[in-house]
Amino acid sequence: MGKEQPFVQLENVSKWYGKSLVLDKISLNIPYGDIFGIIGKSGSGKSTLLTTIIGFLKPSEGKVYFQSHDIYNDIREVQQQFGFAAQEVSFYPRLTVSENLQYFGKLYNLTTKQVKERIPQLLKLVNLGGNEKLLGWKLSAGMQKRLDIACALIHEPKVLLLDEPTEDLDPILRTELLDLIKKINREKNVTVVLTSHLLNEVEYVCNKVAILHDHKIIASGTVNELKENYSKEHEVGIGLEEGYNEEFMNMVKKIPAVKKVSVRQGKIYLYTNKGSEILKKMLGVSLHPNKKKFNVVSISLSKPSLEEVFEELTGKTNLSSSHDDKENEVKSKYDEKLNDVKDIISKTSNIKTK
Amino acid sequence: MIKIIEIIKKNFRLLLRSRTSALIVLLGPLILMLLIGFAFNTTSLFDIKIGTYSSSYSELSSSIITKLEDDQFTVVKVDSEQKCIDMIKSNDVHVCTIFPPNLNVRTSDKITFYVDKSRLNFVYIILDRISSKIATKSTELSTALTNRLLTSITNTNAKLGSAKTISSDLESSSSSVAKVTSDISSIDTSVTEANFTGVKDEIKNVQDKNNFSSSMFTKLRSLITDIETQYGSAVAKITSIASIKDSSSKSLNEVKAKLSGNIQDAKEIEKNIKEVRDDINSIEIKDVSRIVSPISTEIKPVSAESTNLSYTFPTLVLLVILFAGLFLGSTSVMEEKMSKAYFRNFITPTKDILFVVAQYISNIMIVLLQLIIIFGVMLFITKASIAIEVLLNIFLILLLSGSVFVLFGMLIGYLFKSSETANIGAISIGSLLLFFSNTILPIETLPRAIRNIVQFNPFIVGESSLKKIILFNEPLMNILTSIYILAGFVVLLFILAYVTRELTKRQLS
Repeated sequence: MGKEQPFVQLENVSKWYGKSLVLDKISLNIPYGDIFGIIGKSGSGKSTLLTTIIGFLKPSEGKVYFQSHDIYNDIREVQQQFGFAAQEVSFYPRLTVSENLQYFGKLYNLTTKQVKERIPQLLKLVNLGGNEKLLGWKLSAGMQKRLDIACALIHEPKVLLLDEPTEDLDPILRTELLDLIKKINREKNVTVVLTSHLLNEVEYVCNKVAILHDHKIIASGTVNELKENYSKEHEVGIGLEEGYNEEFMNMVKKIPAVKKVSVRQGKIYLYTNKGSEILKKMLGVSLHPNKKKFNVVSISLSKPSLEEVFEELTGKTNLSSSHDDKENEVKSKYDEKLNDVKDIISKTSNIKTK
Repeated sequence: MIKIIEIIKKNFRLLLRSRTSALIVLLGPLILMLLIGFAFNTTSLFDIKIGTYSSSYSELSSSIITKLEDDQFTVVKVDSEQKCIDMIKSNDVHVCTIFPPNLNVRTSDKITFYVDKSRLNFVYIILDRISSKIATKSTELSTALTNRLLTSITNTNAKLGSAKTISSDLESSSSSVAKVTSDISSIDTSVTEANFTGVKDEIKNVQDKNNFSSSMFTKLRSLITDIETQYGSAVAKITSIASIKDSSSKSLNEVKAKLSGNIQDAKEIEKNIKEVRDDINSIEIKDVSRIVSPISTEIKPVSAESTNLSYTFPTLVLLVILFAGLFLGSTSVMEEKMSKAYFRNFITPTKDILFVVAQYISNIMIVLLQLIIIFGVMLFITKASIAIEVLLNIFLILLLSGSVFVLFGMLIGYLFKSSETANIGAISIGSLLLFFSNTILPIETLPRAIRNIVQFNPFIVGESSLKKIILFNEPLMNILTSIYILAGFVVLLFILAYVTRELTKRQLS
C-alpha cells in the first residue's frame, strides 16, 4: 500500500438524523500509515464521521471505501481491520484488564493462543504491564484510556480510530497518550484517525488534518499545507526567562503590527503579517541594554498554529474557549504549571551556567 | 422547604421527560387494575365442563345431569371412567362425575366426583357449585320420600278409624249372647219323678187276684193324680222353656245379624290393614339417613393422594422461574446496555444475534441452576423418587417456560431506558401473568373472550404442563400443544428481543 494512496476513502458521505443534517457530502482520503486528525467544534459531526467510517452508522448518501472496497460489501471483514476507541472508555469495569482484552479478542475472532500472546505485548505497548489482574474500574483515568485503546488494538487492526482520545484527561496524561498514539502508529504501523477540538494536540500528533465545520470538510491536508494555504500571518514566539511577564505583554500589545498576543506552553506568541519587522524589534529588545528587564531567551518566526488556521477558516476566535470552558480552564492551568516548571528549569540552568 | 420542593419538581421533570418511564409509572398500575378489575369483577364461573360416566344412566342420574346443565356447566358424557379421568388431566373437563349403574335412591351407591386437587382454589369453588345443584336434587327427593311416608300414615289413620264401630257392635252381641246364656241357665229342668212302682204293684194285685176292689182303685187313682200333677209341672216347665227358646232364638238371630255385619266390617278392616301394609310395604326408603340425604357423593382426586406441597409444587416452580426469568432477563440486559462496553460490542465483527443468544443462554443457565437447587430441596423434603424420563420431561417444560420468561425479561430490558422503569415493567408483566393464571383466581372466573386470550398465558401453559407431568405422569405426547405454544413464544420473543436490541443502536449513535 503506497503511503499516499487512499487507505480509507469517503465519497460524498452525508448523514441525516431525521431532518437534521449531520454530515454534508464529506469526501476524504486518509492515506495508509498516517495519523490523520479531524478537527472541529463540538457538534460538528466528528463522532458521527468516525462511527460512519467504521460502519456502525450507515451513511444516508455516499460511500465509504477501505482499500478501495465499499465497507458495506463485507462489513465484518472491515470491522476486523478497524479498531475504535470512543470518547468514553468502552470496556467492562467489573472485568480485569486481561479479561477485557481476552473477551474482545475473542469477539474479534482471535484464537486463545493469539489472545494469550497478544495481551502481554499490548499491555507493554500501552504501559499497563503488571496490571492484568486489576479490575477495570480500579484503574486511573489515564490507565482506563490506555486499556480502552488496548481493547481497540487487540485484533491488530490496520486502522485505529480515536474519538477525542484526550478528553477529560489532565495535561500530563494527555501528553502521555499522544505519545502513545505516535508509538502505536510507529511500532504497529497502524493508520490512526483521531478527532479533537484541541488543536495544539492535533498539530502535535497528526500528519494530516481535516477541518470539519458546519458538517462539511472545509479544508484538509498536512498541517504545514493548511498553514501555508490558509494563513497569511506569521507567528513570532518569544520565550522569556521568567516565562510570563505582564509588562512585556502590555508592551508588545502596543506594537501596531501585532494583531494578537497569546500565551502557549510558556511562550508568548505574537501574530502579525509583518513577521520580519516584529522579529527585528524583538531582537532589538533582547539586545537592548535594559534587557535584564525582559530576559528574552528564545525568539522564533514561523507560520501560525493550527488554531490560527482554524480561526481563519471558520471565523471563530477560539475553538476551545468557545466550546469548552472547562477545557480552556485546564489548558490555562496546564500552561501556568508548565511555566512554573520551565521557570524552575531555567533558573536551575542559570545557576549551573553561573 | 424551597429546596425540597425544587428537588421534587426536578424529580418529576426527569420522570416525565422520559416518555416510557412516565407511561409505565403512571399508566402501568392503572392499566393493570383496569384489566384485572374488568376481568375478575364477577362471581360467575364460565364454561365449566363436567364429564359424566355411567355404565347405565338411570332416571335419577339423568335428572341430576339435567340439573347440572345450566349456563355455567356443560355436561359431556364420556365413554369410560378412565377416559373421564384422563380428560381432567388434559383439562378437557373440570370435574368428572361417575354415576353408579342404575342409580336410584334405594341403593346406597355413591356418586363419585373426580377432581384435580392441584387446582385447590378451583376445586372447592366448583365442588361447592355442583354440591349445591345436587343438594337441590337431594332435597327434592327427600321431600318426595317424606311426603310418601306422610301419605301412608294419613291413609292408615283413615282406614283404621273405621275399626271403632265393630267393637261396640261386638259388645252388644256379647250382651245378647250373655242374656241368652242366662235365660237358658234359668230354665227349670227339674222333673218330679213319677212313682210308677205302686201302679205296677196294684196292676200286679189286679192281675193276681183278679179281684178289683175300691181300695185297690183308690190307690191307683191317687197314683194317677200324682202323675197328672207331675205332668202338669212338666208342661209348665216346657212352656217356660218354649218361651225362653223364643226369646233366645230372637236374641241369637239378632246376634247373628250383628255378627254378620261384624264379619263384613272385619273383612273391611282386614282389607284396609292389607292395604295399609301394602302401602307401607310400597315405601322403598325406610332408612332415616337415606330419607334425609337420598344422594350420597364421594370426592376422589385424579392423581394419587399427595401432600399440599406436591399439589402446589408445579405452581411454585413456575412462580420462581417467572420472576427470576423476568428480572434476570431485564436486569442483565439493562446492565449490559448501561455498560461502557456496550458500544464496543457493536463494532466487533460479531453477529448481533450472537449477543442475544449468549445473553439468553447465560440467563437460562442461572435460572436452571436455581431450579436444580429447588428440585434438590423438594426431593429431599418429600423423599420422592422421580423417573429419569419424567425428569427429562420436566426439564423440557421448565427450559421452555424459563426461556419464555427470560426472553420476556430481555425484551423489557431492551425496551426500557432505565433500570427503574425496566424493573417496574418486569413487575407489571409478572403480575399480569400471575393474575391471569389459575394461581390467585381460576381462569374459569374470567369471561370467555378474555379466557380465550388468557389460556395462552405462558405461565398457565407451563404450569398445566408441569402438573400433568408431575402429578399425572403424562407423557410428552399428551402435552405437545403446550410445548408448541411455549416454543412459539420462545421464537417470537427472541425475534422481538433481537429487533429491539437492533433498535437500541440508534440510542448509541
